[in-house]
Amino acid sequence: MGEIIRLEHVSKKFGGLVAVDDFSGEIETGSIVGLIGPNGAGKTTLFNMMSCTYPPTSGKIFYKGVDVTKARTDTMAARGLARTFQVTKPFGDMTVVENFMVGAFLHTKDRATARKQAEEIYDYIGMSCGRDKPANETTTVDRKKLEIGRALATKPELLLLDEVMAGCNPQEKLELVETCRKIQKCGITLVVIEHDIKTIMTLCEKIVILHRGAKLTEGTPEQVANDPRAISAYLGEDYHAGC
Amino acid sequence: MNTKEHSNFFQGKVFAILGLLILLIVPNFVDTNVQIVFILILFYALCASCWNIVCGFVGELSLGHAVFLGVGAYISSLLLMDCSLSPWIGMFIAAAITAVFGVIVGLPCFRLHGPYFALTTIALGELIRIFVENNETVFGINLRGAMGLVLKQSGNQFIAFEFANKITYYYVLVALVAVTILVTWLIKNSKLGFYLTAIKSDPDAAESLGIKLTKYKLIAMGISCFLISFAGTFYAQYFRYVGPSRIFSHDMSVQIALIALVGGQGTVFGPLMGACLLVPITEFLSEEFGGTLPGLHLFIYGIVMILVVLYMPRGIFHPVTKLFKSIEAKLFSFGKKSVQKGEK
Ligand SMILES: Nc1ncnc2c1ncn2[C@@H]1O[C@H](COP(=O)(O)OP(=O)(O)OP(=O)(O)O)[C@@H](O)[C@H]1O
Ligand SMILES: [Mg+2]
Repeated sequence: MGEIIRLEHVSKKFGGLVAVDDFSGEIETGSIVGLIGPNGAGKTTLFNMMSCTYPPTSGKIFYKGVDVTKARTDTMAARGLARTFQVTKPFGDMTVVENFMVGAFLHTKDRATARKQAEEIYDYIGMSCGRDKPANETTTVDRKKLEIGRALATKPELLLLDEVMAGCNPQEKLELVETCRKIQKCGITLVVIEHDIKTIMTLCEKIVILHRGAKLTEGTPEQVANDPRAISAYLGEDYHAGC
Repeated sequence: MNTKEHSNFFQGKVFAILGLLILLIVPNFVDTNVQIVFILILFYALCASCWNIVCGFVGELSLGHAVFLGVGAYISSLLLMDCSLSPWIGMFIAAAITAVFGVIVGLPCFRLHGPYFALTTIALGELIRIFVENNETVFGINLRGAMGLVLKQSGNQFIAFEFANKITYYYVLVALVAVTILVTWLIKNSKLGFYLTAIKSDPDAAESLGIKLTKYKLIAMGISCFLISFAGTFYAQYFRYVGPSRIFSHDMSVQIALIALVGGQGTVFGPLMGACLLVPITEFLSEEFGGTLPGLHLFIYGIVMILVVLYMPRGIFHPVTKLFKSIEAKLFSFGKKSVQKGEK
């Protein structure tokens, strides 16, 4: 299948702070990859560079074989990369469906078409708050789903999900896992940042552990779970024992 | 934004239609002094609506919009004075040039946000005013410096955009305001409107959905400047004089912005509502106390502004329509007891 995105020796410095340190890796097209690591490990920073919010201090990023290191965020969306934000950013004045419409407008000028696609997304993502609920009056889960739905409305090929399950209860997490699987079945590649290790181990085919900005280890959930470095740095003995 | 506001508007439609009818018909039956106030209401409604198209939707505070009003007024007047071109044609040439000018000016300005944007637009306004005041000719164009442009009276001539009675000017304004409000409504219900609202709400999220922030802001800027230039042409034709110290003034810019802010940013009818509230207050106060207490109208302006910011930070449009709606519901259920509340 080949890779959809490849990072080569990517580093990001904020002043003296090295947020991402010489990270290299690639994501297989059609796969679902988990990105985990302790707080401040640089996960969100990595997403920001992949979606070209800011360029890396050094290193290169290739998206579908094209060098996008210095590309702009909006052109990345047009090329098929969509993302959600860890701190949700709903368009508060708009309704849920109107939020989706903004995403859908990337590929159409027609309001009715956008509306129809937005309503399909609403049903697809399985929200229950009502289509015409103002976005700033929705609950945490619905905000997370709103983020996913809005990103999906741009018809992406690669979707970056930044802690969409944080703040959700176990039942809601299960729902979101199902949603992720459904999205993957549609042929969309997923990269998922999550702190709930159990959930991410069941969801993902491949796990990358980030530690202090650098890649600590990567592999299948089993490989990672048995990696001594991962256990000592992040997963902890408890998780290993629990496996 | 859309669905909700629509239903609000149509539910308050009795008052809305009443208000619009007053604006349409009453000026026919009042004396000239009152007609002048009506003309000012619609003139400021027009300017504020144009301001709203870019600043109201994008959520930036331009305090230099009088520049574009002035540029429009100058171009169409110069075309009339020096090239004998009818203002009816000149106003479109002026509008096109003003739109291009607005886009060029907007290019650097829209890289800034919040107070930086506002300060830059103030600086721009002052820069243009001082420049025009101090230059007699620029590139062979006879700007006439601080004297301004005096348009000769040529009698009641339609072709010269010159009318004997105020009421004709008024209906020209009605048409211009109607066009501007229609354009606002169309924008609001189109991709452009969704994009601008998204940009205002969260630029980072908007950009991540593929929205080119600068491009859409500049499109809105172009439309806004195109339309406000018509107001400029009207101003010149109506007053028959364009003075740089008035039309490019900071006062003018602030007044335009305030009316739109008080009315309701990003709403279709808010600026008109704001003008209906603020312009009569100003006119009445400066009429009554202009001699004894000059500046009182500005004082009252300030108070109204503070009250609105404190109690209706998003303008009077939504609270007022809500009020109208509830009054209407009461009147309605008074007549027919069976009507239920909360109909959709
Ligand atoms: N814009 C910025 N300016 C300065 N420092 C930043 C910026 N963004 C992130 N950092 C710093 O970079 C480091 C990595 O941050 P990042 O947000 O990528 O971590 P994370 O892995 O997403 O953590 P979390 O699990 O808490 O979300 C942190 O120390 C953070 O304080
Ligand atoms: Mg993070």
